[in-house]
Amino acid sequence: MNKLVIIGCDRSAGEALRSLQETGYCLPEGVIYQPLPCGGSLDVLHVLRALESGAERVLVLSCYADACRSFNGNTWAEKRTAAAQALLTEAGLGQERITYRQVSPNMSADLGAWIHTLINLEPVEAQDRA
Amino acid sequence: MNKTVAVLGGSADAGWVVEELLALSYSVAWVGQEDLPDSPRSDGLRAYPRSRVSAVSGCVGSFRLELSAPPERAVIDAAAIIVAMGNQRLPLGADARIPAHPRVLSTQVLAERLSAPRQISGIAPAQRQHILFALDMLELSGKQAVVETLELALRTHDTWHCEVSVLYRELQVDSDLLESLTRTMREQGIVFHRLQDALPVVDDSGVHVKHADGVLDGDLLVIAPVVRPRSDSAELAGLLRIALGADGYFQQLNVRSYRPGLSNRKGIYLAGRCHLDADDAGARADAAQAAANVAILLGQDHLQPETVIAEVGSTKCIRCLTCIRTCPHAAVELAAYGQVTAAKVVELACFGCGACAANCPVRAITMKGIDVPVWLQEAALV
Ligand code: SF4
Ligand code: SF4
Repeated sequence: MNKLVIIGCDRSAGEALRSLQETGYCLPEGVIYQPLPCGGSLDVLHVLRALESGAERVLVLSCYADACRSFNGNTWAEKRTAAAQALLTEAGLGQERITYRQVSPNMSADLGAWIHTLINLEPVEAQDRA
Repeated sequence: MNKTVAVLGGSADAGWVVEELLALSYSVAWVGQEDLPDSPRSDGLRAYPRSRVSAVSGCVGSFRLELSAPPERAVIDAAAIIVAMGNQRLPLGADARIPAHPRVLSTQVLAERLSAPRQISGIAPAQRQHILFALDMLELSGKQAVVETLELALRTHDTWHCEVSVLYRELQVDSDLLESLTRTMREQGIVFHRLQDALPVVDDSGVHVKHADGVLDGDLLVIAPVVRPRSDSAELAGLLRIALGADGYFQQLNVRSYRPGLSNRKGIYLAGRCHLDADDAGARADAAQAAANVAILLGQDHLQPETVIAEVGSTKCIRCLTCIRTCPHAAVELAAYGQVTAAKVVELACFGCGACAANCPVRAITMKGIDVPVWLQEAALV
């Protein structure tokens, strides 16, 4: 089972991840990175399919506002992530399974820290039961 | 391939772009609403002074611009377009908040008085007089106007031997020219004060301006010009389908990580003070960048689409026009597929961002050139 699926704009998240990997970092087992050409191409279905395929959590990454090559890809990504979170809440599954962050290509250290935090969180079901 | 470049704007900025393009051996069609500045004579240059762009069609590699240039109309076929229309300077009287008073002058009026022979003008201030120069008093003056105003302040000090002070809001000393100018001014006893948010008080006793440490009293107040985006920017942006920022200047595509001067449309570039605040040196450098952007585009014998692009399934399309409205790069249009009309992605114009695919309500758009894992394969990218 994948613990974490990262869906991110390849121009920001992808660059940050590649810089991190250049330092010798390897994605931990169970973590998958799925690049998108831009945050604007994120579909709610991407997030839901990632969860459906067994991911415990999904991390959606887009550029910062004003840094998107296509102007408002980050806004689309944020809106669609919120829509996916709303669907999870409606289904009683806990919206904390989905995290949205803005990232720039030079934030490789932050990206590594986010991944570390997310994969070390308690499973969501356990939280739900608590 | 047609390698003509259309340069739009009658500003000095456009003149520098034209020079750069001619130096790279491109054919240039230069269109300006005004008389065009002097330019090098060249067989590669066609000039359209006092002409207005009235329609634009096509895409990168094959733009068509229609001009209304009384008494006749003209058509330009261009592979690329550079917008270099500059900004506009407002006359001093344009802002009613600045009191109209003989003690308040524009830089232009002061420069004329300074150049007039003393016996004719008879208005050289006595040495004890104090002349205040205000930059960005109510609105931004722009870098070039700041340079010119500081040079004028120094010249006034040197010529009339009077006391000179400079008031400013944000003075970014970010060029060699400004650094040496401000250093020379300080060495000569010219004092700089940061303006407070208050209008000058002008009466018969003099001019009184609030600054960060108190009130400065002077005999004359010289106000640097104010610059604003040209009032016809929005109309041209609409015709070209390129973005204007909230401040009214042309918006550059992603200022942080891409080459400067790219607009949201492939093949349309921005140069000079229609999209950035620069002094003349900065605007010249930007002209060279714009020409380099064209050279990157047209340097090969043919144009290449991006590796990832969108494609419309014409039989699925319900012609809702969502993709046309959503595409940030104006790369989708309606087209005839035999008997059917549907959305069509102009391959050369597409940046492959996928916004159209994610927004299409019937999932009629697919992204070509992307590997999609099986677990995602029912989502929109397929
Ligand atoms: S992928 Fe779609 S939205 Fe993005 S540039 Fe191409 S046509 Fe426009
Ligand atoms: S969004 Fe989809 S259905 Fe609507 S016009 Fe574009 S391709 Fe056709």
